Amino acid sequence: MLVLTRRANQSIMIGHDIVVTVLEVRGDQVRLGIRAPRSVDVHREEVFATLQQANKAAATSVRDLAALEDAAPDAPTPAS
Amino acid sequence: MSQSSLIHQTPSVTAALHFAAGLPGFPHLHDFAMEQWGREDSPFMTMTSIDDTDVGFVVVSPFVFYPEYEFELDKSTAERLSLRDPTDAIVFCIVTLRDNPQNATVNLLGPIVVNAQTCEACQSVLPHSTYEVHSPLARVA
Repeated sequence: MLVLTRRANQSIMIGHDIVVTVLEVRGDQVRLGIRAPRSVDVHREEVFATLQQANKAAATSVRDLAALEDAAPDAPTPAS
Repeated sequence: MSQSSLIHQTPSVTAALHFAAGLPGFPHLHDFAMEQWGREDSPFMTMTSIDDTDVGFVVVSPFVFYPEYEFELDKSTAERLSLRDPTDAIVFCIVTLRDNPQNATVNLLGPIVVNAQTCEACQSVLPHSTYEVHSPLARVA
């Protein structure tokens, strides 16, 4: 792992178009600003892991989706 | 953003969506076709990868099952999708089908946001919300 020391308002470049800036250091928390192109997703790591797992659990092949079509869950009945 | 405008727009999407960043877990897949799924009046749609037929999702407008669902679109998502007018946004959530339709869940934590004008899409995340990644579709009243 590359380890760099930075102070508030200093940045690092990742590749040529991702800029990570240390905005504020307070106690054990660091606020970061991230500028990245729209093709790069930026998430907190733990949230990313949750989404990744959920998406993998939800992914179904096109063939299975066709086979399951008749078993689609019911839409809720409108509240009376 | 206005919730009602999203509800009314949702059924009209039948185009292909482009995810510039892919989806978490599927970063290499960028283009997905949308089709209605289930019975004629079904609120569900399939969102299937154009490049990999092993990857498809069932999606649904969250407002069908959770009419009170709401979130504030964060600035970076709006910028990424070039969303200038909130009424251009369409929201879907991914459904996880399980062994029994009664047990199906919907991901309210990571909604898919689409710019209806451009069909640019991304999976957003609501880190400060109480919404869950596996919220039941069948709710006990």
